[in-house]
Amino acid sequence: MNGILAHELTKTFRNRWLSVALAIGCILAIVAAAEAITTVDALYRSMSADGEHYGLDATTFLGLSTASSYGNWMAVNANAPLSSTVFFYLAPLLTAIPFSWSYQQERDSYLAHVLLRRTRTQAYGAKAAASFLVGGTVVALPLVLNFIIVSCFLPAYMPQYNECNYTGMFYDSYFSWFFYNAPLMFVALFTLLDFCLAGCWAVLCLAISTLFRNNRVATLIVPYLGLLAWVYLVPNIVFANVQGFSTDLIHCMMATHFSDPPEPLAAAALLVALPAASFVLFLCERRRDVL
Amino acid sequence: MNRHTTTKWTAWRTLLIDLRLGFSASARWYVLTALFALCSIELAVAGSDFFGIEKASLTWADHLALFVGGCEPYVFRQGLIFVPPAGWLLGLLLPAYMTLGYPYRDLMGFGQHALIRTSRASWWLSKCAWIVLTVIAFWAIVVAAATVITVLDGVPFSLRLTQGAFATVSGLANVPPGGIGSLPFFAGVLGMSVALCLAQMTLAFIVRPSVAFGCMAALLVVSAHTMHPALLGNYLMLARLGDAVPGGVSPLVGLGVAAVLAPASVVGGLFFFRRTDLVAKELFA
Repeated sequence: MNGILAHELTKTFRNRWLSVALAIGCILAIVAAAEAITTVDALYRSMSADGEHYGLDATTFLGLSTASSYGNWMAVNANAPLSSTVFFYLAPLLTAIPFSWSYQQERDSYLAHVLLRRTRTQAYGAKAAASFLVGGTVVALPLVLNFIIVSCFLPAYMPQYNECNYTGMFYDSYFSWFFYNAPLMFVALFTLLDFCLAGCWAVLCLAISTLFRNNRVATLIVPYLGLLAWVYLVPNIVFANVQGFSTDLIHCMMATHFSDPPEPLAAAALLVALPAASFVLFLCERRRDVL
Repeated sequence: MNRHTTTKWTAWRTLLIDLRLGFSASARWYVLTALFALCSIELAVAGSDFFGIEKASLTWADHLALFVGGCEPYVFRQGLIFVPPAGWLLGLLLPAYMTLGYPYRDLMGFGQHALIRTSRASWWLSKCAWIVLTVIAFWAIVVAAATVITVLDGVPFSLRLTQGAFATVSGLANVPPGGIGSLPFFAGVLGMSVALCLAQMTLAFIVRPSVAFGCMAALLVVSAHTMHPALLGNYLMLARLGDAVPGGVSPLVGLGVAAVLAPASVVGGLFFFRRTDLVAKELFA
C-alpha cells in the first residue's frame, strides 16, 4: 500500500494541473487580500476626514473586528465580498482539476497493470487518498496565503463580539468562540475544515468519474453543475419550509453568511456523506470488469 | 473502394455529421434543461407571491424572463456577504457546458479522421454552427417550458414585460403601467448567450475546456456582483435591464457587443486552430 500511495502522491503533486489550479486559487487570494486592504484603507481615510478615526484611534466606533487581519481573512470576508465569493464558488471546480480525471485516464492502461499486483481496495484507496490531499491543498494554500498577506498590512486586533453585525460572525457561526477568544486558532481550525471539505469533494469527483467513459470534460464539470443545482434547488424545494441554515458545500466553506447561517451539523454531515457516496460509487466500480 | 472514400467531404457534410453526433451526445442534457427550466420558472413565479404579486398578473414574457431573472447589484456594507443567484448561474452554465464537451471529444476521436479529408476551416466553422444551433435549441426548450407554465397558470400570451416580473427580482425597477416590450431583451439574451459560448470554445482551445468553463463561471459571478456594461453577464439578466432599472444596461448595446464578439471568436479561434499541432498536444483536459 505504501508503495502505491507514494507513487500516486508523486504523480499528483508533480502534476502540472495542480500548478494551474493553485495558481488560479492564489491569484484570487491575492486579489481578495488587495480588495480587503484597499477597502480598509478607504475606511481609515474617510473616517479620519470626518474626525472619527478607525481602529484604536477611534473616538466613537472602534471597528476592531473589521479593521483586523482576522476580520479581513478570505473566509470571514468582512470587506472583500467579490474576490472571496469568486474563490469559494470556483473552489469546487479547482479541487477537481488536478487529479479527479486520473482514474478515467488510467482505467484501461496503467491501472490494469497495477491491479495485477495489488488489490482493488489498495488501488482505489491510494487514488482516493491522493485526491483528498490534493483537493484540500488547492483550497487551503490560497487561504493561508491570503491570511499571510492580510496580516502583513492590517493589525491583528482582537475581534469584538459587539461588532458581529459588521463581520457576519454570529454566535451560531462555525468556531465563533475561537474567533472572538483565540482568533489564530480559529484560522487554523477553519483552514483545516475547508481542507477536509475540499478533499472530500475531490474524492467524490474522482468517484463520479467512474461513471464516465473517455469524457474528461464531463468528469470535471458535471459534479460542479450538480453542486450548483444543490445550492439552488435544495433550499428552495427540500428545505423551503425550514428556515435557518444552509447545507451546501460552497456556503459550508465560508465562515460568514447572509441569511441562512452555515450549520456545523451540516458540515459534519457533509464530511460523512461525501466519503460515503464516494465509497458506494467505488464499490459499484469494483464489481465491473477492469478490462 | 467503399462509398465513404468516394463521397466528397464537404463543409455541409461535416455539419450534418456534427448535428447528428452532437445532438445525440447532448440529448439527455436537453431533458435536464426542460426539467430545470420548468422548475426554475415555477419557483420564480411562486417567489413572486412573497412580493404580493398576483400570479394572474404575469404574462408569458414575464415567465420566460424570470428564467434569467438574476439579482440586484451588490451594494457594499460591512458584514453583508455577496450571494450570487445560483439559479441564474446554473441556467447560463448549462448551455456553456453543453457546447463545451462535444468539439473536444470529436477532435480526440472521429474529428481527427475527418480532418484528414476536410479542411481545418470547415471543421472549425462546422463546430461553430453546431454551437449556434445548440444554444438556439437550448433557448427553444426554455421557451417551451415557459409556454407550458403559461398554459397551466392560464395567463395571457403577451410579449410585454410587467412590473410583476421586475418586482420579483429587483426592487429598483420602475415599469410603466402598460409594461415594456420584451423582444429586444430576449434577442439580446440569445445573442449574448451564443457569443459567450463561441468565445468559450475559442478560449477552450487556448487554455483547455475546464479552465475556459471556470472563466465563464467567474465572469457570470462578477457580472452578478457589479452592474457595468463591460461585464457581459449583465445583458443576460432581467434585473439589469436598462429600460426599467435605473443605471441598467441596454439590450441593444448587448446585441451590438454580441455581434462583434461572436464573429471575433469564430475568426480568432480559427486563426489559433489552424496553427495548433493537433497530434502532439493533449487537448482533452
